[in-house]
Amino acid sequence: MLLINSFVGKFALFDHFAKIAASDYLMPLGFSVVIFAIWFVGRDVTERRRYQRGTLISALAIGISNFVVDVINANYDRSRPFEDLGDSMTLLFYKSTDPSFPANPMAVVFSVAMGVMLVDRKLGWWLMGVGTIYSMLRVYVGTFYPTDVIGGAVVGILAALFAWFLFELMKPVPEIVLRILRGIGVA
Amino acid sequence: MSDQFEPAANLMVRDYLILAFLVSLGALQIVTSISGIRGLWLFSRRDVTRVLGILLIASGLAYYIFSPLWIEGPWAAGSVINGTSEGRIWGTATLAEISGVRNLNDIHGGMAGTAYAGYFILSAVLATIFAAIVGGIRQRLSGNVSSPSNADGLDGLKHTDPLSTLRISFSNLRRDLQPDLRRMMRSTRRWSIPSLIERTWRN
Repeated sequence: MLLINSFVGKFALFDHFAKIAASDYLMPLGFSVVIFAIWFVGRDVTERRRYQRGTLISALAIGISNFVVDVINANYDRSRPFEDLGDSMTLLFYKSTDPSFPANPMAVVFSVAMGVMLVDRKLGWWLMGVGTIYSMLRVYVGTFYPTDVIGGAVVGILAALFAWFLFELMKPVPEIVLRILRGIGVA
Repeated sequence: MSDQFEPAANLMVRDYLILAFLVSLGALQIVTSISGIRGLWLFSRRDVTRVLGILLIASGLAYYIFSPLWIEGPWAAGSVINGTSEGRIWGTATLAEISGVRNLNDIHGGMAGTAYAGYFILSAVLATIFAAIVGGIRQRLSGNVSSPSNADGLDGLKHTDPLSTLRISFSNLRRDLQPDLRRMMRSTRRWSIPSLIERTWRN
């Protein structure tokens, strides 16, 4: 944690980049746009149906991961690095007030990455890569410990796999939903 | 969040809606230009649609990141220290502080994670409706509406305008829903819950 954060202040331009890239809005927006955009991907109905399943699985996984993070937060209140380490680190972000473990933003982005990987492996790996960079930047700016972001990533990945299992368990309900959405012209 | 932070919260929501709308619309233009869903294009040419998509995304990001230079908010020059939320003064930011101004805790007028998700969904839906309306008007004006096709849903939008697609889609749904349901139930796994319910019901 301190090793990663010790580079703060050495490269001003990178610090500016980190403050934007590790923000609450940029990466979550990017991942949301991906699950919105893949709804419209596909050369034919079969391929599009597969990607639309990816959108629905990712969306459900976000909900599940948020619920799991809330439950863990309610039972385990880990303090933030800036509270424990004080002046020995430099904070480039606002002082978050919610518990540190597991990292909620990581749970969200890895839910999406895993949900997408189930329908498009290559795109999924790309998102995993971007999610990993986002995680490291969150540690760099001082809002999370490395174990917080690892915990968040694990929650997100497991949530997506559980969402996929729920889809299999409820088959053909998701297919019926997609068929009805196609009937009103949006799928 | 106390009332003193309400103007900041309103500003953050408004700006995020603009960002999410422009980025969603841009992504929609790029992806529909690739998959050929013409009914949602704002322009009739594929290459123009794609370039427009890139420009929309870039302009959304540029607006969100750089507008504190000229729009007053909780980011007055000198009050944004390393992107922290406390002690912010109302005013415009300087270029040196621009990277940290939007990092605002939700207890100081920023947005919570669920708010980001909710406003994104709203923006994405609005962007799709906007593209469908503009795409429909464009196709009607250019007379490029009818292609004798029974394709429905998004596939229908490859051939005709959103209004005609909606009519065909709904008609196909009414005709095919029952046979589709039977086919879907036949192809489902034996251990799926709807399948178990159906077998229990029969017995």
